[in-house]
Amino acid sequence: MTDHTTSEPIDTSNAASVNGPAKQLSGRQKATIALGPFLILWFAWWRLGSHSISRTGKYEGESAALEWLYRVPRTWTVDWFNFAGRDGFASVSYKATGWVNIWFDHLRYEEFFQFTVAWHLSRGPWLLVLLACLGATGWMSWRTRSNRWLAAIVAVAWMGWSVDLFDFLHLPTTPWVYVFLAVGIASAARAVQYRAFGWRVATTAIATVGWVTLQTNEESFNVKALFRQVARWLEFPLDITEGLLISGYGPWHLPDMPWLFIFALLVGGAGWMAWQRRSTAWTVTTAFVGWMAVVSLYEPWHIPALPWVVIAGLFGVVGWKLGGWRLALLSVGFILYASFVGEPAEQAGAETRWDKTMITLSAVLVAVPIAALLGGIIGLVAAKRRRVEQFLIPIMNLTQAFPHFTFLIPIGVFIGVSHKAGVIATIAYAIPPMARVTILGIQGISKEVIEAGIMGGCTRRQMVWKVELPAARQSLLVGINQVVMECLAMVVIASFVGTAGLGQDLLFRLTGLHIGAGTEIGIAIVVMAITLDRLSQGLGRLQPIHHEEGAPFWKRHPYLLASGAVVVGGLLLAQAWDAAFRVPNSWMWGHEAFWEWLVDNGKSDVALWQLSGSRWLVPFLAAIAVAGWRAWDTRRYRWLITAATLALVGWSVDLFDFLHLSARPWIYVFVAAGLVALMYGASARARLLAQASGDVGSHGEAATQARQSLRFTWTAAMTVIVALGWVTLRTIDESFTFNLRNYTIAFRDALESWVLLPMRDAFLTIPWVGLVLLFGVVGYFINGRRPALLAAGMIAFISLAGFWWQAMWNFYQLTFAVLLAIIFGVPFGVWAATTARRNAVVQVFLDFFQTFPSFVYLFPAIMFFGVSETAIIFAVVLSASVPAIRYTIFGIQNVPKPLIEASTMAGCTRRQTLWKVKLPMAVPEIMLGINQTIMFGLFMVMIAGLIKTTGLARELIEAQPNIDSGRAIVAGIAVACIGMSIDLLISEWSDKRKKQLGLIET
Amino acid sequence: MNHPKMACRNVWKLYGPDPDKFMAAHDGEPDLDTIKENGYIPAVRDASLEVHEGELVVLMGLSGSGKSTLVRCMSRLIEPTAGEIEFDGEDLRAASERELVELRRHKMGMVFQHFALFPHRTVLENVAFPLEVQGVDLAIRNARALEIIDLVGLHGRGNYYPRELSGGQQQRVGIGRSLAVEPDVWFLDEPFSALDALIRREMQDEFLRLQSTLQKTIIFITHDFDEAIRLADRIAIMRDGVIDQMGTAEELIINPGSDYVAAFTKNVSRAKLLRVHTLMGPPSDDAQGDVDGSVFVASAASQILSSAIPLRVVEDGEVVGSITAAQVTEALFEAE
Repeated sequence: MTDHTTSEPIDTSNAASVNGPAKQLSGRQKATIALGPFLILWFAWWRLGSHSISRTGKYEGESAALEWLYRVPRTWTVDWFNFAGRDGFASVSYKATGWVNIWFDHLRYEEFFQFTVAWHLSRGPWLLVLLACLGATGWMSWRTRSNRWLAAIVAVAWMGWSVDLFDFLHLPTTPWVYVFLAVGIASAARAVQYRAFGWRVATTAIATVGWVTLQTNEESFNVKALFRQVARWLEFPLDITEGLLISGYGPWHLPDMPWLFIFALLVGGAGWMAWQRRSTAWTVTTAFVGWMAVVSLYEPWHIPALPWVVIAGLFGVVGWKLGGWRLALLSVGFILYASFVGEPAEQAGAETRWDKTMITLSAVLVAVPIAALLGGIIGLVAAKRRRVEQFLIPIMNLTQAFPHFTFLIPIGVFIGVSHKAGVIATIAYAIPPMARVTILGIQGISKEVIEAGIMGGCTRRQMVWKVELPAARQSLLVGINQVVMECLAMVVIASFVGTAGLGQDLLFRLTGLHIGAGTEIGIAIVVMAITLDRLSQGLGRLQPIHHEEGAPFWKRHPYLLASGAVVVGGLLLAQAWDAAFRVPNSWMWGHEAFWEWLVDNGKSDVALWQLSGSRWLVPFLAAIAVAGWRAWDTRRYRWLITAATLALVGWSVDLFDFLHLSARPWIYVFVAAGLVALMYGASARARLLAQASGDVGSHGEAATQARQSLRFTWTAAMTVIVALGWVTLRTIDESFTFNLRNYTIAFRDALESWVLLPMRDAFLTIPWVGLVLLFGVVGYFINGRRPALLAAGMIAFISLAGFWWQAMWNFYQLTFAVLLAIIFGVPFGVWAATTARRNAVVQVFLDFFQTFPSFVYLFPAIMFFGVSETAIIFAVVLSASVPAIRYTIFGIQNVPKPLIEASTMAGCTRRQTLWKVKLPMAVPEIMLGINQTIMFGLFMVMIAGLIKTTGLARELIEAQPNIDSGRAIVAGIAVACIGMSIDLLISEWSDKRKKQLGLIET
Repeated sequence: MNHPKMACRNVWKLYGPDPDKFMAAHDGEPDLDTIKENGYIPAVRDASLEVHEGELVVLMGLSGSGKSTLVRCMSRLIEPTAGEIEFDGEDLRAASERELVELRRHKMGMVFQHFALFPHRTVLENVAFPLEVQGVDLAIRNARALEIIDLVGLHGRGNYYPRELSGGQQQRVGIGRSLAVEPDVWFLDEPFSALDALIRREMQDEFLRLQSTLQKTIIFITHDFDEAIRLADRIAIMRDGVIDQMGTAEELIINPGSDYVAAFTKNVSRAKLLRVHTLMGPPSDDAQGDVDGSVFVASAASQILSSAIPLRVVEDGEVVGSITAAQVTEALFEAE
């Protein structure tokens, strides 16, 4: 039947079995052992059970005798806490989800301290258990006199008290506050005395809980209050950044308490300095602050937000500093896009695109440092303490395999739906990668550098601040780049719990299927993502530069001065000219109609460019002039082509109709320009070719390459120009009615009815026992018992949680899309890795695509295929191809040079070198790429739930935080289980294989 | 001088699941096979070493012979499994973390094979680093660091970052950094191994120049025997974690304790290392003509070899022995 669909696991087991622990078995035998039972079970169930897929896409299979094969019977699961019988959850068909629900309910509605009481257990046995624990820990702490046991006894006692086990002592709450205080002080004293890590952590924890309790003004707190309090702390940084970018500050009125205090402090401090130093500058400052204070007595202060001119300028300066003029241009471009593009607000005071962009930007600007800081601290502690690391790594593996949505559930439950909640979810999502990078960075510092620090006489603290953190700076900055990207990926999805800004806007448009507007917002987010990504990458590349001694101030701090100039100039400009403060509505330019047109592909008769030309004429002519000047200056044909393209675009949008020329002549101009460009390019190439052959002889590799690239360039340029010319001609004739969408829809329908739906149905009949066996056996062949048990256990969990057919639905999407991505990506990677030039070009594109937040891939998918299964698969293939290509290139380029030289000298042709040397050596890396492809694909399948929910994505999204959070959490874990089990098998195999090939140290 | 500047006695370092327990179970002296059978890796076994004030001891051996580990045990960068470490007559293993920090801040310095410079600090800041962590004033430590930079021959490079320097220059910074606190004991862990042959030679000369003015107590690691004999007062040869033999270069060449040591000494230019009095026989009546006993064979070779009869070996005006051409050729070509 559908054997071919499972060819991927066959590959894995085949390749793995070559060097499995059981050496006596051949690869073929191992494949039989792994696949045989699986296929037999699958086939048996497929033939013997009865299957039907309901209209809503729900699988309903039944077979009395073999039911257990397919679905875990309820009687098999242990009813741990008798929860299934609770009111309101009887309808939940599987226990795990109900169980999590009840936990959440407790945490949410009931006081934390009464938590256990609600477990429907008589207290008697718990009291005994607890007293026994107390006794045991007490005895151990007396015997060993170790702090650890003392901490244990305190913990047990606190637990018991917290669950009211001791309420037979009949003490009111207040005395316990003192006990708490005493324990905290004792713990702090021990921390000071021993300087021990454990005590510091304990003190911090106790102090945090105590402080939060005080803050909440409640006698006892519940978990929700704790989280709300945390959310409240976030207001402060959010207010500051939003104030700076959008809303401004104020009104401040001196008699109001904090300002009175702050002004008193400022005036007092400045006065003190003036008196101490007797300096004019401080006297002036004092006078100024004092004057401000007096003024504010009469009139509340209102400090406006920064004008867009200043923000654009600052971005430009930062870009200039971090990556030269190109990055400066990109950064300014981002701000310009944010200010000018978008539908004008319908009424005054409504949020414009600018406001939304700035809200998102400030959310990112707040989330990134917090996530980086927390992740950095966690990573630092883990890097230094083996036990903490061992504890954290599995947790991080799990959280990084969670689909984005899973992070929203606890946030929604405990904090509720708000902008802050979304920012917290974003922070939570970005912490694990940062922690991981920090661990790697700190542990990757050369051992000698650490030793040099110790021999220099550093204390532990000095080691951290003066040696480890600065030496790991580079990787920490890479981590920050990752945090930025994670935050941006989460910004849209966090809108489910109420993050305002672009993400929310996009979510509304997407769910309302306003694809045009959605695309426009999506582009805004992508532009922001690319800018922030390049900026943070630039930060990572930054190297300290030494200045000659005695260099003047302006030479040492050019960027500081430029920023100052931008701020002062921009503020003055904004004072004089309102348009420099906020872009007026009439300047705004929306192009969503264009995207709508693209989606409908000419069905609706939308005028593409509703703007009069005059305003755009100036920038257009300027751009053409610049491109022309660059072409003249650098004598590079690509600038000529740029100029020609700009001219064409300008013409096509009727910018030049003031010239009163008919369209036709311009076509000739265009064609002529294209020809000139081509000839120019050809002559440049020819020169290059001559140079190259002059250098190394006409048969040299450089000459061949130059010849090849010349051919490539010729073909590409001709194709572009001919295509453009043709389209232009057809458009002008107004008989151009090519409708791409008709074809894609037909393709979709054929694909779905012939391939996708049969495949889905087949996958839905995979029996869980079979897949558990398959993963277990493959795991065993790869690396013995541990991976076998882990992989099989994870698959079994999905089944036990009751999400089997949902998981298989996603599994089929994943299998199909990943296969496509591999079929496309790996050969493309091989092609791109053969010459440095191709590689350079492809890398640029890969970097570009990698920056996209995943939801972006949904837009082309919908445009081509509507809301359908095919669209999901298409989006998954798009996003998952990137790692497949990247890892293939990486793997092939990492093949040791001597090996290739050896094979060339042995007389291999190019093809032989590729098949006999490069590919076998690159296979482990390619497998890692496939692993990444699967992970990306899994995430994308879940994110595709934004447009069409299938399988586990439906469970995730439909179980909104406040209705059935247990279901969503367990579904999230099930998704993570799919990803982690495959990841486990592939990375274990790849590791082993790399060691065998000597690519990494054993 | 009654006690050595620095000493280690019966130092062991094992890697494995529970070295302490393992050592206790075997009375503190497990043999090599037992160690390997039980899955432990013996880095240092029963090593004893004394270094006296102003002496330059070279630890020498192939990679993996435990010389680095031994030095790190002596500086307590690595905690030894068993044995005693003595510094100025005090037990270093009993020192608390605070005391160790103080010791390292004032009495020890170390130079590393791959320079171990802090990439985020300029040359000046690197050299001033040990002073900075001690809390020395900025002005004072910069003045001191500038002196050191001049001393190691990097005048005017104070504002450079390590990546802007060549390998040899980087190691000069490493040496400067370790000298900034004027240490009593100076550890050098293969300081010139990562450098090209020519630069290495130059750096050795530079090092000898420095040592002639500073007169530090030095423990120097190398795997290059030529370097060892060039620099060392005494050489300790290590193999599989054990100190195989210890002595002056001459002792090692004349009396190699094992094939391992002999293999090292085989290819050295003996004529430049052996002195006439080490080769001479008892005084002979036939002998005619005088040769100084304390000079290297190389400088007296033409005189000895051109003479058909034995020569008198004279030291401080007294005849101490005689030497023949045959004795010289035998000693010089013995190895082959």
